[in-house]
Amino acid sequence: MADSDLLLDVRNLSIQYRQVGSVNSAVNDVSFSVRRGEVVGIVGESGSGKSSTMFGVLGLTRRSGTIVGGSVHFEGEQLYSATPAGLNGLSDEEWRRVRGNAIGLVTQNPRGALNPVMRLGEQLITMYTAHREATADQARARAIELLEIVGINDPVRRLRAFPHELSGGMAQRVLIAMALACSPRLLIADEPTSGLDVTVQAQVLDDLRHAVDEVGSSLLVVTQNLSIVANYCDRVYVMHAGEIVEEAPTERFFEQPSYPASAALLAAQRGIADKRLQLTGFPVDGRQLPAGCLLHNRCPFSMVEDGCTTVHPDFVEVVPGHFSRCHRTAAVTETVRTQLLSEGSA
Amino acid sequence: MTEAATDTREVLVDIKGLVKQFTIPGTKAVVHACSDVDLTLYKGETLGVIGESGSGKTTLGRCVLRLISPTAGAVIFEGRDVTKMTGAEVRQLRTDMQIVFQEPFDALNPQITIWKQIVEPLRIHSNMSKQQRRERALELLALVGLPPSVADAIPAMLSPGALQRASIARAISTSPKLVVLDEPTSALPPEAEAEIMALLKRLQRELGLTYIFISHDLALVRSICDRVAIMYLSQVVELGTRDEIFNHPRHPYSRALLASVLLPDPKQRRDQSNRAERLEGEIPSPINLPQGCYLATRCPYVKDRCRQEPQRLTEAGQSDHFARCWRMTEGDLTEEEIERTREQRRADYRAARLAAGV
Repeated sequence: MADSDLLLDVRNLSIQYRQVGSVNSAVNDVSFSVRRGEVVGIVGESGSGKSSTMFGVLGLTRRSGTIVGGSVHFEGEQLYSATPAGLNGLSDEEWRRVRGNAIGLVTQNPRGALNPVMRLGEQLITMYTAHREATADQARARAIELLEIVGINDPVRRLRAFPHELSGGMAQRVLIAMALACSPRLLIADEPTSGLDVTVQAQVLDDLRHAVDEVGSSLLVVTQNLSIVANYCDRVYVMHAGEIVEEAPTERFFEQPSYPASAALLAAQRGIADKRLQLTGFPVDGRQLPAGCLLHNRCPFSMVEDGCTTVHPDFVEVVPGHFSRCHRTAAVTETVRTQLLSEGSA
Repeated sequence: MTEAATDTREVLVDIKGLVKQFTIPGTKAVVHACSDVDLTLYKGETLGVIGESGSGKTTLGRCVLRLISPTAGAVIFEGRDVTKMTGAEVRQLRTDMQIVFQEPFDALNPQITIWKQIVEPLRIHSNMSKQQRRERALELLALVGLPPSVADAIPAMLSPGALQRASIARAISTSPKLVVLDEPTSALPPEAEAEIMALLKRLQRELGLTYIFISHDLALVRSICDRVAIMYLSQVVELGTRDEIFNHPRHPYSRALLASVLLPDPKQRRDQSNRAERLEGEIPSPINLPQGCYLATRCPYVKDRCRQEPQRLTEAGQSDHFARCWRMTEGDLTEEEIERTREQRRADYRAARLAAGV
């Protein structure tokens, strides 16, 4: 890929949550990128480190978390590189230029993210004027325009509404509108529709994709739902136990997932219950990562002879643009071809 | 699936004119949870009930079991009206009708071992000894695919999928005829969901169960149900065999609902025609229902009569297919008009994009 196309470049990001007597390695050596105009999905089960990674991109951690390694570049500029002494990078003042301005964030639970005692208009306008010089009228016009872009009817009246007057779908749209207020070059959406009904889910995602195209942003969607990836993403990363375990263009991923957990997830979402593709047991404990592949104790393909229990697999290019972190890629590929695709197409 | 002639089917439950209203405490406001629901459930089938949250599907399931008492209407189970039964009769009825809840962790007591919980119904409804109940519990665990070691575990020691299996074991412990499945997989991770669906299908085959499957997930409904009822704002708006509903939906709400499905396959991405089916605006409040058709406020094909007169569930051409739509009954909603409306909305959509881009 040409370097000028590269918008976000995350290299070797590691995040730990330190508790008394233990260290939980939630994100381990994660690298990924987003190009200009691209819609990228990150999927993985709960606890796989997706949300921690997204906050990490913005130099943020929650609770006892610490960014212990890695670097993030945005539009060629280094946002930070992590050193043992802390983050080496932007000042607080410079971060304010990035967060909410160059990079927008839509979190899950929209009601929790809106201020319950402030009218929507005020919240939208605050967001805009924090980053832009604008008169009150200009800011208000922008707020109305934003509500229109995200598909809210009667935006002028809605400016005076409080969050509790909104349905879940509307609250989510308002949050998207706020994240888009400053026309960010990158929008990060963390489970943007997880609490919504199916009809509303598709509408919000259509509106999100439409709005992103409108302002010319790139979009990074974090989700557990492969249908969202199939419908809206150009490229997908899969996370498991704090690692990136697979990367592929969307079409390729759905034709030929090559990591066992990806195949298991796809089989499950296509309603195929086949033991040869199912994972067993529980995700590994981030406080005691096992030797070898982090999936081996749950994986139907695991083989001692192939080193699954002893050697940590590398991230290997299966075909150009498609990577997988698995010693048994050939076996997975074969099983997927015979079990998943034959039944899936029936 | 349900190709058999109508007369060979045996009715298990007949729901007639079911109404359930809740009064908001301290006010005179009434929430209409179920309005005028007519449904027939045949032995051995799975009837899917789909709708958005707040459409009344859970209330309907609870009224059938008489976990709550309906405001009006009748639920005839094997010839007897459930709504008129005394407390003792209802207790007797519980052996024939069971329910599996959405959230298995909340449905089980956190402090009691699994085996005791799954045969708790037998303690009440049978005179089995403790030893016999223990044996039955182990049988039930095997039946739902759990190892015997689970018997002496407490819920905190099990995964959500295993807990839901235990809930299902409890529901079938009394050998019921009807099981209401109220979003049985929506609290589970996707892998556990596929396993539970496979289990439910196997149990139905082996035990001859009849299911009411309540869900908002269209893919699941399609995978398990013989017939499907679609609910909108407290009413059943369309009812038919699975294939009729999914291939030839007649009600504008059903069309919009089906067009909103996202499939895990990039070859079947949503396109402009899916978007053109979307309903604008918000679902009206179940406290102030529209006067005529409940969809009239959002329907792209609305006419004057729709706004004024409520319509009943009426035959939709095919036998076993019903919809609640004036435009369909009057037969003047043509494919051309639907296509024209879609084309218009596509054009509006493009215009809106252009306008927003300026």
